[in-house]
Amino acid sequence: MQVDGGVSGTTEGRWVVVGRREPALRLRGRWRGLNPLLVGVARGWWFVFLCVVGGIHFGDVFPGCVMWSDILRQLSNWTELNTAIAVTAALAAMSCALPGAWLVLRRQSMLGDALAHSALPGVVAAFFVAYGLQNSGWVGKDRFDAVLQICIVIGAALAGLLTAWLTAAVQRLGQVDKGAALGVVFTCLFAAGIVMVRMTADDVHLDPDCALFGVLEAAAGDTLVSVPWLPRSAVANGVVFLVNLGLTLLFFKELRIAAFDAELSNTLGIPRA
Amino acid sequence: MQYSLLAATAIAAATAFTTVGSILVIGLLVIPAAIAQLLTVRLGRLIVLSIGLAAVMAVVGHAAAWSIPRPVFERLGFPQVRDMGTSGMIAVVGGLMFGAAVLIAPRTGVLMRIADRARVLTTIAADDLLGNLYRQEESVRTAAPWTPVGVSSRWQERAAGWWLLRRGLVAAGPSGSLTLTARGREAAESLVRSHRLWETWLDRNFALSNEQLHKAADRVEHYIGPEIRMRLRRNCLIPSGIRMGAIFLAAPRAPDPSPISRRLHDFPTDQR
Repeated sequence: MQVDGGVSGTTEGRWVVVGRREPALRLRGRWRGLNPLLVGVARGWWFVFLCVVGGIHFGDVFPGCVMWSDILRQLSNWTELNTAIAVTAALAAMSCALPGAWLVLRRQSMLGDALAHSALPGVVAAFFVAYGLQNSGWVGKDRFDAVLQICIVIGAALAGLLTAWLTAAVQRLGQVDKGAALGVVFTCLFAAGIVMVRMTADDVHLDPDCALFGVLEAAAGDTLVSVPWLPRSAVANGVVFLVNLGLTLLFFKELRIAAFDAELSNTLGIPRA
Repeated sequence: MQYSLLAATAIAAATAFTTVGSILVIGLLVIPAAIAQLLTVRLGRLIVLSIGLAAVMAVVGHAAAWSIPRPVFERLGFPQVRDMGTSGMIAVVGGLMFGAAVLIAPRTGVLMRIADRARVLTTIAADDLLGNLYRQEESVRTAAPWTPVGVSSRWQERAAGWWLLRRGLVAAGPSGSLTLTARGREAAESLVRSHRLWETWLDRNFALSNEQLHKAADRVEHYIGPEIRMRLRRNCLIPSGIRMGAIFLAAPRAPDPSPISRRLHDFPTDQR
């Protein structure tokens, strides 16, 4: 290294004293690593702006390119149905994310996977029961959907408990670890659910494709009679979300202890999973 | 508690899966929480963030499924493709969001690690540069020979020069050469002092060759603060022949934890 001629590799007069210029917005603490990114955005925002604005008509100039113009044109056809689908999906996502967060914290995300699968026989059984009630005349046509929803809730809860119980049994009797037991149980239950769907495909409005991949578009079109812009499934998911939110707020302390210090929660009498 | 969480999960999964399908439900259970876990370590924020991320995921996913496939597939020659399954696109958007979170996460993110590493390397290169400038001035003053210390690559030296200029520790001469400012001389002095104190201390307590002493001091000098410097000086003032290394190492620790250990204590026990 050659200090006399300045920093090695520099050309003459390369270093210019610019003083200490701080960017207007500077992150502190653990986000400070993003500061170079912010400086980049602050210096190059005009480039991003040009790309976005210019990109809108880019596709007209160069017809070979798929650019913002097409996507924005498509987005401008957004209708109320799209809003309904988005809202339904968002409510479903939120109602799943809440218990999912606790499961991930407790390092039991595999259990969530298992529950999502093994709920299928519960749901199919709920369809059986609801249609049976309707056919036997206990439930009128106007009440059918509410009854079906309640049956789904009960069936899913029972299927979840069945999963837990069977897993514990397989683990104890088969001398295998928890993951393996869970894998055995939920695949069997899911397969049973698929078989049940196949057997009754003609009687019940439920088919394997819709159970696996969902029918969000159709579900959002199926609205309440009294409130024509509100899909039924949005109502169901919203209610579940609110109930889960209430439960989380109610048992926040217990859940937190059980998630972070299982031994302490055991000694306090809160059963751990 | 176990069974209520289980039942709540099962009910949410069943209700969601009659609308969005069982494959997506698994993604919805895990992805938002996983992203939130990367972005924060506070429990309350994690819950709120995962709910918000789930909603964002769903809306963006539907918008993408609605708007992107048609233009793309028209170009590719499949005009019959109108839109895609919203469920699948929500999962795809979730995966992309997770990838972005892995990149920018504050503690464990890839970008953040690169930035941290670059900052440390630049600081060390800047220290070396500062020390060399000081030694050069000193050799002019005392007419004693000197050798540059530190081995850093060219770009590191450039970054170090820029870093020092920005902080006003050096000034650029007319021909592009760097000279120390008053503040820079102060910093360089304490740095070189740390280096030499550490060398002296090592020399008094361990039988090492000059080169080994120099290398060790060159590594350690960046981490020696004023307090350790003071303690080293006190140690070096004691006449030689008495081994003070043990006493120095056994000195009581500072009462407050250093920033590094405080950062360590922010993590839950099993993640340290």
